[in-house]
Amino acid sequence: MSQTAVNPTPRLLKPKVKQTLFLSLLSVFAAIWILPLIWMFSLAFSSNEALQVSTNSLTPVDPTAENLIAVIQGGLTPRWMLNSVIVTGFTTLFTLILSAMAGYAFARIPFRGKKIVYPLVLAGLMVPREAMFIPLFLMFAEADYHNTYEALMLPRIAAPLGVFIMTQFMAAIPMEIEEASRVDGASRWRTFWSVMMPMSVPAMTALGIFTYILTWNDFLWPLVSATQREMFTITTGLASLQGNFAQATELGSLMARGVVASLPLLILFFIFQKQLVRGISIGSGGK
Amino acid sequence: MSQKTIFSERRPEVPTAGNRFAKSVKKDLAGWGFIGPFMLIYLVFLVWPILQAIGLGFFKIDLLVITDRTFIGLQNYFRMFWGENMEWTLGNMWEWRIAGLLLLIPVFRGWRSKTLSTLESVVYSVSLVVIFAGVMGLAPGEGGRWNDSLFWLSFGNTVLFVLLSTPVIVGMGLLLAMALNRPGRWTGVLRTVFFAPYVLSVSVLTLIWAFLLNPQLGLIGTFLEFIGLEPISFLTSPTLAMPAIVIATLWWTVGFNVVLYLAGLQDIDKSLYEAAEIDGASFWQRFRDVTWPGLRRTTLLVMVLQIIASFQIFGQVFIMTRGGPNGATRVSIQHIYESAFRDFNLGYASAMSVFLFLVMIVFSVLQFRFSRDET
Amino acid sequence: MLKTKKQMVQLLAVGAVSALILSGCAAAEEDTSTDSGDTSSDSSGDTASNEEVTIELARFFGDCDDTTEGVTDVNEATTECEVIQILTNAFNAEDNGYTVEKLGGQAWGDYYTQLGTTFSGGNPPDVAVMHQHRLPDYVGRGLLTPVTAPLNAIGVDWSDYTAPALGAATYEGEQYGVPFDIHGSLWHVNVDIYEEAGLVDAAGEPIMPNSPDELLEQCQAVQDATGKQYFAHDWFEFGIGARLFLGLVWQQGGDITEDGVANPDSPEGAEALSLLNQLANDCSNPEQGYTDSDASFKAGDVAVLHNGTWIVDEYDRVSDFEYRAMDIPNLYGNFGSWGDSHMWVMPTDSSRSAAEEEASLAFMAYLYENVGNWAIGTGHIAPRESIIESADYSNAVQRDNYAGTAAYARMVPAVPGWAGAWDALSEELNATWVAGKDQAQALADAESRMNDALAD
Repeated sequence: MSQTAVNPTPRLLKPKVKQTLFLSLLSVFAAIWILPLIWMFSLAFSSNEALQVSTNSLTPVDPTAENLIAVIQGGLTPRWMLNSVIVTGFTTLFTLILSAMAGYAFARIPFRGKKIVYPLVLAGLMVPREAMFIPLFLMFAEADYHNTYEALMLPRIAAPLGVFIMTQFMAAIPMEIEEASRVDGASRWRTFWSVMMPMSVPAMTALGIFTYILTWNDFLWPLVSATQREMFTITTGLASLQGNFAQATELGSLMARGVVASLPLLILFFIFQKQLVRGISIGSGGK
Repeated sequence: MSQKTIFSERRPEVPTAGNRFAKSVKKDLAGWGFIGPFMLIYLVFLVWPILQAIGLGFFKIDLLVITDRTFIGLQNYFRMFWGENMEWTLGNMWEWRIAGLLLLIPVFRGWRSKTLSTLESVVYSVSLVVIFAGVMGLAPGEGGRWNDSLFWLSFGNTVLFVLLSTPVIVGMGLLLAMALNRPGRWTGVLRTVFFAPYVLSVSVLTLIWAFLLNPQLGLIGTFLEFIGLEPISFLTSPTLAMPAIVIATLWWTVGFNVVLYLAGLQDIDKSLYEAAEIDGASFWQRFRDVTWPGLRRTTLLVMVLQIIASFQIFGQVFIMTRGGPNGATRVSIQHIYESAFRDFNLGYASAMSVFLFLVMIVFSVLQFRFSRDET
Repeated sequence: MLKTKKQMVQLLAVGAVSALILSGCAAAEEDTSTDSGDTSSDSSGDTASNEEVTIELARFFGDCDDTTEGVTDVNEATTECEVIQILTNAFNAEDNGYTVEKLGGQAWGDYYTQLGTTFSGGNPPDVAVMHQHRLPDYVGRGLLTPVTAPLNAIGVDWSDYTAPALGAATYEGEQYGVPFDIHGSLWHVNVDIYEEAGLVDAAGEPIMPNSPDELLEQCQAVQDATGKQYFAHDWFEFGIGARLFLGLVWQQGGDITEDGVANPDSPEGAEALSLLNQLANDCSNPEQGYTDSDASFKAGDVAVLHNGTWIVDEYDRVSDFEYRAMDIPNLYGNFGSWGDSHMWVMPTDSSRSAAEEEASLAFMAYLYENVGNWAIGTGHIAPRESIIESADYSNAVQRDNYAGTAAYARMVPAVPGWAGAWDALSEELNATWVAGKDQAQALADAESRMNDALAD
């Protein structure tokens, strides 16, 4: 695209105009998309009393920070936040490791039994949680192991979702790259660690994000397993602040709690989403 | 990593029987070694409870006093599926049955074009006929009733939700991913915007949407009034409640598909795009010849996950409509949850979960089967 | 590539170290707050109450420790949560060696799920709150300890309870819980609107209708005179419509169960349902749920709101119109009004020591003594005669206006499996006014579904 021509041909301009137009439309759509969240923020900063009369305003009604302050100071919010960070962080870390390893094996290693084990793992995706969590609950109860971080993490670390995602993405990596490393004399582990994992950064980012969010927002299991106040996660902890018929009486507080619980996740996503899209420069060369 | 030279330096290997055996054992060790940690935890914390749950389906067992259990064999299943005074009629649910039998057409075409083996075609055809022509004709006759009317009702609603939500959420995910698949600060912001709803917990989501959809208190109602229409009460309308929940679910979860598709788009060889552009291909041609085939694996992943997630929908519906109005939005998991935790009937809930589980397996197997043929 | 790998190794290292440190912290914290009060196990078998005993309390009503930390004066409470928390704080501050530790605090939607699993796991709390309508499920399975005699021995006078309250706690002759309140249906009246419609008497008090015809006449009068909505309540969210249905059936002298068999499909049921549908379509807005009807009333757009006792204090505080909380009107000759009760129960637990049981009973007796504070602080009806007659209570906001409910509130039938039956009834009734389902069909379906639920 030479800029030296005095009269750049219309065809050269068109793609850029199209691009800008497209982005603008997309941004408008995004603005509509984000409206409910803006509304949530607005309600979080409105006083409960004002909200009992009217709720359809996009800007805070009777603006106040008291809801937010009450949430942060309320209950054991810092402790609950810490619990969530620890449990979610470690669950995500271990899930990524376990799923990546298993994904590599299922995608690339022709070992005996694979054809039986892989479907078995996938079948785990299809089990309704509500049904199997009583036996799981009783397992931990008999070992007297509730109200621990381990109880919150262990059932979640072996995630069929993770294996499924990693298998699909690792299978998509061109064989030549992996073979090159193996032919160089690298062991499976080294191939995995030095070649497959780095190539799977987008997939691992995706899985990491999902695992983090799903674990963070998990409600039913922490509800029954972590019954002592100090062991609540931020999700169950904030739910415990809620009185009866809270929507009618303390809508602002409810929204403020929602903001506090979801803001860390949003920030996390914004930081990591770059990893989902590789730059053009890496794309063509690395393949 | 210069591939060509590495290839040509490949060490020659003499294959012997011993070599081959050693290699296969090595592969097995490697394979099991890699899946070992995962499998260990998986077997203990997922498979074992699931097996127990399946076992519970053969018992009458009380949630509050779990030692109080009696073996009742298949009675839970009998209760789920059957009723009193059952009779077979040609006209029962005939619209659905005709629609189901229309599936015989693609099966036939698959057989003709040799994508399906004769055995498979026969299996599918027979199954379709048995289910749609046969089984679906059963219903309670005069003076009869289903043992559990809520069971089939909630299953039907679940299937409806799956059919409505899957194309919408998968399609939207793909479109958005393609739109957002470019580097840049602003696109990063846009990506965050479209994904943001996914970070909300289900309780916050339902709070926001219950208020949004409220004709009196919500933004949508205000907007409708603004453009001169009557505000609609979505969640109390038997026809609009389910679509409203689909939209809310779309808003909430499309980000998941967007992220998967974005990751998938990265794996498509960019040189293919360059080649297509040189050839002067249009956008649609590029999509059809490069993007769509390249996303084959991702699409399989996304669709399987979406269908599984849709079958297991619960939270949004339970909190926003509690299954109403008039049971129009009651889904299977709600029925399972209420049976276990409100009626304390753990055995029955387990049996229903097994059924749902098997249905999902069938759908997934079919998806895997049909995606492999798209080479 | 190298950068990512290095980062990952660093992350793992940090992670491993942190895990060790934090799990140590967590373990240490757990030791100081174990359940079952291990700190109190005494080998000598001595049951003297001077031992430090910790018991577990499970309740809903929320968590308000941030506003009640260290507070022991119940007069400072402004919400349900604060009242019970301050009372608990005060009990803990007493020099009796007992400490009550609160579990949960969940909103009541999730409370019973959590409570149920504690029973499953064989580790229920020492004292728990429970609605009357849930009691039969637990008592029927032998999961609650009868407390008639033990509480009597430490000062609880069962005869002081009002008839509805005692009835709520009694199952086959034994009491299984300490009623904390009676809460029930009320009509919240916007007197200004009533006045404008000419529906007040000489003293300016609202006139309640005495028959279905009078009800519809009032509806017409309000709409003609003020153009405002006569009636509002939650038509589909929390089963409040079903409560009014129940009340109307009772007022006609009927009931929805007989000997444990559900029979809402009766002449009384048909009449009640018909009236409710008329009310919904001509005098109300059946698209309103709890929050909107509540909002409409507070905004002064509705003449009568059917809601409960729990927000009397709040409406009194918040409304900028003349407000009265009144018994629901008797339209058919008998008094019939839905009621329920929050009760404190003691789950059976063989691993509970004698000292813990003593502590639990002491706490329950303490709550018995404080029902007045609960009732005054929240708007619920006190379950004890002596409290009702006390000056503090009568002078509390609006209480005199619904004294009838205090005496005659009626609980739902005490049969196991009621939760499922009630949901079925609610859903069928709602279907008539929200989705236009045929009323006769709805009643028939309700009856069969209710009996299915009760039969389990």
